[in-house]
Amino acid sequence: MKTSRSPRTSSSSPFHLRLAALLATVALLAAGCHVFDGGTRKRHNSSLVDYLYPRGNHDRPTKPSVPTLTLPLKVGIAWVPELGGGKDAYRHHDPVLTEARRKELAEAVIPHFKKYPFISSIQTIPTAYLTPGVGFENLDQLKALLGVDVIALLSFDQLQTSDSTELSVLYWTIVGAYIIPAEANRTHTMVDAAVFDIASRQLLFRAPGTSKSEGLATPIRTDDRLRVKSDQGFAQASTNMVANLELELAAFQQRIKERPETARIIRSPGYTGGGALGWGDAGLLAGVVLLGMLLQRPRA
Amino acid sequence: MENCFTSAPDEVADQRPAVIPMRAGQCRLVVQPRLGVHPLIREVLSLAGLVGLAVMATVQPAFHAWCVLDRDALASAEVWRLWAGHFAHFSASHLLVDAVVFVLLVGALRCAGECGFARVLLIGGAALSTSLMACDSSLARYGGLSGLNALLMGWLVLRWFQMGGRQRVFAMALLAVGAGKFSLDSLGLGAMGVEFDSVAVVRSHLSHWLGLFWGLAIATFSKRSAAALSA
Repeated sequence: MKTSRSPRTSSSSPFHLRLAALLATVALLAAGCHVFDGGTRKRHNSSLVDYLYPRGNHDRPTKPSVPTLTLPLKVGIAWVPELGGGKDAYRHHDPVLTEARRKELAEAVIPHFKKYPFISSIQTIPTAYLTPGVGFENLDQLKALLGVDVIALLSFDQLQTSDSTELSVLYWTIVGAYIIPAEANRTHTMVDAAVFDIASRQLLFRAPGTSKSEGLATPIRTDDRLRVKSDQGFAQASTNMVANLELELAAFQQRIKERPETARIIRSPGYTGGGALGWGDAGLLAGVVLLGMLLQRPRA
Repeated sequence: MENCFTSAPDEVADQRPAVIPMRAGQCRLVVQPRLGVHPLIREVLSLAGLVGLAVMATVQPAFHAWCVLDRDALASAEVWRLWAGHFAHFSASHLLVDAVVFVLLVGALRCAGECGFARVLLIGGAALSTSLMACDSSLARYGGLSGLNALLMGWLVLRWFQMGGRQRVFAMALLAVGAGKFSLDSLGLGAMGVEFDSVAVVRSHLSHWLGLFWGLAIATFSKRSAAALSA
């Protein structure tokens, strides 16, 4: 039996070859462009300094004074608004952290500090309550509105990079872009908590928390992976920050004991009292009592 | 006829077993030795037990929270805090200085022939805690033996005063030292000798004054004092 190739097939063969060559060239170019494009960088940050000292407000006196802490304290926790780019930086920017996620992360801090007897309440303050460009006057407004004495301002800086590895040359197969995890992603996150006494505008103490993660992803999945890593980075940095904050709080207490001029502590309703004699007083008292005992006449 | 069993005072316990008929004929007092343990050993063990309780109430956070005199908890009928609060301290040095003074004052009172510490600590501890909470409405929590120390000091002052002679001079000296120290503290001129673990804890000066008051009051109205005054 003689087989013959159809004229249609024989005429389309050069066309298919040309098409295949074109596709291969496009894929190669695309892969090449992806390999040599130098990777992607995403940076999200919120600046405590820009929030408290907005542009044009650097010279305005803030009247700092010795903090007077009325115990127990009412504490507020708020995330500093995120910086974008351009003139109206705070307004037109897609935030990396949603308000719900900010609330979750801030609320995770509360149980660690609720145990201290000198803290009467801790409340999270929505970022919407923080008006950029006003500085400390905004904190005064929060104090009047919510009755908080001390505020912990959380700011962050997150940098995500995505670079192609040598395996990314396989992206020219097109299928490789779906199955070859040749994108090296890195996420560096820092969350910083600065605790301010609102009335005196004094920074009481601060503590940072950092996290770093690396991973590989396919180009198609890179954005998803970066989003997940971003969220994990915030969670880990917040956990790290809480641990450091507890250490800083202990150091701050010690500083007040050693240098009482650092902060004045005054008691308010709900204070804890300790009945205590000093060593000197106890020594004097013990001297009189011992002398009285030793020189006591024996009982009849 | 009923038999009323009671623990014997040390003087009477030496004559054991003894039966003391009561005048009214309704009750006969039968004196029994206390578990056959020497009174001195019993007192030392009791004192060590109290100090041990104070150590536990200071170093064990959960037990500390259970012991400390807390206004809200007291309102929830946790009445043991009226006594246990005196044994909860806010630092190791706070406990140490209070415990040393407590043991010393108990020893001085014992040398002066006083007994019935359990009764005095029960009545005085509750009276001190109640009056402290009533007089200082801002006070939410309290802990420390120094209030009871002031109470024992008041008791010792009156006892020494009743003994007369040289002891009266020591009574006046002790009262002067105590009252002078409490006055300086109240005026904010007293030296801070012990540190608390938390900056949130402030010294309660009122507890000292109330302790001194209750010590003098309880000693004045005790049977021994009444007998001494009538003599």
